[in-house]
Amino acid sequence: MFWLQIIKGFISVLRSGQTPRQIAAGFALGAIVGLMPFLTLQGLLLWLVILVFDVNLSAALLAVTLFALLSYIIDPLLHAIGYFLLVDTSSLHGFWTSLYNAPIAPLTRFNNTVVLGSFVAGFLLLLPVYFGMRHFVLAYRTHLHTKVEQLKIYQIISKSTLVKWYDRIKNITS
Amino acid sequence: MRKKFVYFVLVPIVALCVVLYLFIDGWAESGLESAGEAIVGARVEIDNLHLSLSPIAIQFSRLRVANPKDPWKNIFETGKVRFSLDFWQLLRGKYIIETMEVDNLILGTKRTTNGSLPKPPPTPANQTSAVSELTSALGNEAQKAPVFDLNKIRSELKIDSLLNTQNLRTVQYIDSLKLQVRDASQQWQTTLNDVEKSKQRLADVQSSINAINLNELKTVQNITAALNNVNNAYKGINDINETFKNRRAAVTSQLDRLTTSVNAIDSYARSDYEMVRRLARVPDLSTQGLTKLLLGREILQKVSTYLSWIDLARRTVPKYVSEPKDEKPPRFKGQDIHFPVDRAYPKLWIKKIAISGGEDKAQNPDCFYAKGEVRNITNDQRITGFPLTVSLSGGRASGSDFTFDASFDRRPDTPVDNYKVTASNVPITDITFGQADFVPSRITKAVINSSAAVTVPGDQFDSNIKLGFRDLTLVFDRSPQGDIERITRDVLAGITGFNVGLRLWNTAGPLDIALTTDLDDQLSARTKKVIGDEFAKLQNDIRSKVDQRIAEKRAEFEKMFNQKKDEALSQLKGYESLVNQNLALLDGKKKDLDARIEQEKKKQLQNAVKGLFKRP
Repeated sequence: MFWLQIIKGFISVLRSGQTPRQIAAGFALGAIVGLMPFLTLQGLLLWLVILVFDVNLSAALLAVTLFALLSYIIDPLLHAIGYFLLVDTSSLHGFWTSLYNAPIAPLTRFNNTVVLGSFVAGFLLLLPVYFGMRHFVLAYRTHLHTKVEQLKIYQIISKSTLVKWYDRIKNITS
Repeated sequence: MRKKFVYFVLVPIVALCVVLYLFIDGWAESGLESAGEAIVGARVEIDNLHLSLSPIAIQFSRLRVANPKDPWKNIFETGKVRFSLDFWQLLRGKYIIETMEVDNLILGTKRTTNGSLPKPPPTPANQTSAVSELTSALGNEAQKAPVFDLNKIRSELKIDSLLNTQNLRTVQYIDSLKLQVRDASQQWQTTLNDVEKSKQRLADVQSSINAINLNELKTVQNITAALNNVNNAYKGINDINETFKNRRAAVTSQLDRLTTSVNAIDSYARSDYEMVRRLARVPDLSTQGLTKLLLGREILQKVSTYLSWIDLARRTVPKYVSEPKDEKPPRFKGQDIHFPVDRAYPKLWIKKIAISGGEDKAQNPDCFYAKGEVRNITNDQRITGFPLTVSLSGGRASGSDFTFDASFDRRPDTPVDNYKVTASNVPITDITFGQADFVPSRITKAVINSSAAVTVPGDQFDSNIKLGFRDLTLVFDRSPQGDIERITRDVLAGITGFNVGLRLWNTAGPLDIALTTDLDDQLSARTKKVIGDEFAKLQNDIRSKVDQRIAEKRAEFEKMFNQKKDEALSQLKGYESLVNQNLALLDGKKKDLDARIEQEKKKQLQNAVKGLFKRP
C-alpha cells in the first residue's frame, strides 16, 4: 500500500506542484541511493541531501525502489565495474591505498566491488537521469496527464484513506 | 532548503544529542565499571568521570578495584586518571590511547564497604587452565605433608588396618613364589619318575655283572666275551649317568633360581615397611623432612594464592586476535578488496599507562605506593607487535620496597607469561610456623626479603622463589606438652633467620616441588636427637608388625620349599650313589677280567714255549 501511495504522489507531482527540476533532482538522487547497498557513509549523506534540500521526496522514494530492483538484476555488472576499478586498473592502486589508509574513507566501504561499482554507475547515470526525468515531466504536463487521470487504477489509488493520511504526513515535512 | 525538515527533524536530533552528551558521563562511568567488574570479579568504582569531545578524552578523579579474595580491601586505588582517544582512529572504530596518566596508585587500601559481587553462576568444570590445575596439585601436596604430632600419630595409628595383606607386596610375592615352587616340584617329580625307571636297568646290569664268575672262565675267548659284556654294560651305565647328570643340573639350577627369589623377600619386606610408614604418616627425620614439616604447608598455601593471580592474568590477557564478528551477508555482498596498510591498529591499544606513586606515604602507612608504567594493553598483540609489559616499583612508609616486572606475550602460537618480583624489608606478622598439631607457633615479627621468577609458557610452569627471613620472633601458642615439644621449642627459639628456596615446575609432566633451606642445618641436629627416639619406637613398632605378618607367610613358604627341595635332592643323591656303586662294580669286574686275560695269555705262552722244547 505504501508504494501505491508513492506512485499516487508521484503522479500528482508530475501534474503540478513542484518544478520539473525538483522532481528530476529527487529522482536522480534516489537513483544513486537505490543502486548502492544500504548502510554506507555516502548513502547516508545522500539521504541527508534528499531530506534537507527541497527535492521531490516521492520521486526520490520511487527512484530508490526502481533502482534497487534494477541493481539486484545488474549486480554482476556492478561487481565487474567495481572489480575492474579496484583490481584491474593498476594506475588507481595508489589512490585506493591512500584512501584505504585515510581515517574516514573506509566507512564508505569503497573497497567493496559492488559498493564502488554501483556508486560509479549511479554517478555516471546522474545527469542522464536528471535531464531525462525533467524532459519526461515537461512532456507529461503537456501531453500525458489527462490520459493518466482517466485511468481507473489512478482513481482507486487517489481515493484511498491511507493515501490521504500519507499526504497529511508528507505535507508536514515538505 | 526544506525548512520544516530542519525545524522538526534536524533541530530535535541536535537537541537529543545535547541531552545525550549531558548524561553520557554517567553512562560511560557505569559501562566502564561493569566491564571492570566482569574482569576482576569484584566491585570496580569510578568517581566523577568526565568525557570531553575536543579532544575526545576521559578523566576521572578516582578508581578503586576491590580484591575478590578480600572484599574489604582494594587491590589498588588511584588518584586522578586521564587519557585521550585518537579521534581519527575512533572514526574507524578503534580505541587508541597514546598515554594514560594514573596518579597516586596505592596497593591494598582498606575499604569501608564490602567489595564483593553477587556470586556468579558456577563456571563449567572443563574451563580449567594449567595454572589452576597446579593450584589444586599444590593443595594436594600440602595435604600430603606428614603429621608431626606424636600423640595424634599414636591415636590415629592403626597399623593392623594398614597391614591388609592385599597391600603388602611381600605377601603377594611369597604367594607367587609358592606357585612357582609347586610348578617346579611337579617338574622335579616327572624327572625323578624318569630316573626311577632307569633304576631297573641299573639292577639288570648289576645282576648280569654279578653273574660273571671268573673261576668258571677257562679260555681266553670266554674271558674276552665276558669283558665285552662288561664294556657294553659300562657304556650303558655311562649313558644313564649322563642323562642323570643333565636332569640333576636342571633341577639344581631351578633350585638356585628359587633360592635367589626367596632371598629377594627381604627387599620386598623393606619396601613394605616404608609403604606402611608413609601410610601411617610417620615423618622421616631426614634434614629435608624437617623444613617441609615446619614450613611446607604454609608456604605452599601462600604460593597457591599467588598462582591464582597468575591464572587470572592468563585468562584475562587476550590470547591471540580478536574473535571475528558473526556477519550476516548483505543483500549485495560484493567482494572486499584489501590494500596495503601503512600502519594497522587493533581494536584497542593503550600504548602506555604512566603511573605515579603518591607522595604522602604517611597517609596510608600500611599500603604500597606504586609507580612505573604499563605498556601495550591491546586486544591483538600480533597487530601491535608488542607484548603487554608491566614495570612497577614502590614502597611504603615503613621502608619496605618492591619491584614487579611482568610480560604477557600473546604473539607466538604458545602464549608466554614472565614475572619477576622482588620485595625487601617487608615486615611479616602472623605466619604459622610448624603445624597446628605440633609445636604450634607463629612468627609474630620478622622481616622478609624475597624474589621470585615465574615463567608460564603455554600450559607449562616454572617458578623459582627465594625467601629470606630475618630478625624473626617466634611465639608459641600453648604450653609445651611433653619433653619433646619443650626441647624443640628451645631449638626454634634460638633461630633468628633462615633462607628458603622453593621451585615449582611442571615442564616435564606432573608438578614437581623442591624446597631447600638452611634452616634444616640449624634444626636437624638437636631435633633429631630429641624426637628421634620417640619416632624410632613408632617405626620399630611398625617394622615388627610388618615383619611378623610377613614372617608367618614366609615360614609357611620356606617349610614347603625346603621339604620339596630336600625330597628332590635326597632322591637325586640316592640315585647318584646307586649309579656310582654300579660303576665301581663294573670297574672292579673289568680289572679282574683284564688281569685274568693277561694271566691266561701268559699261561698259553708258557705252554707254547714248553711245546717247542718237548721231544716228539
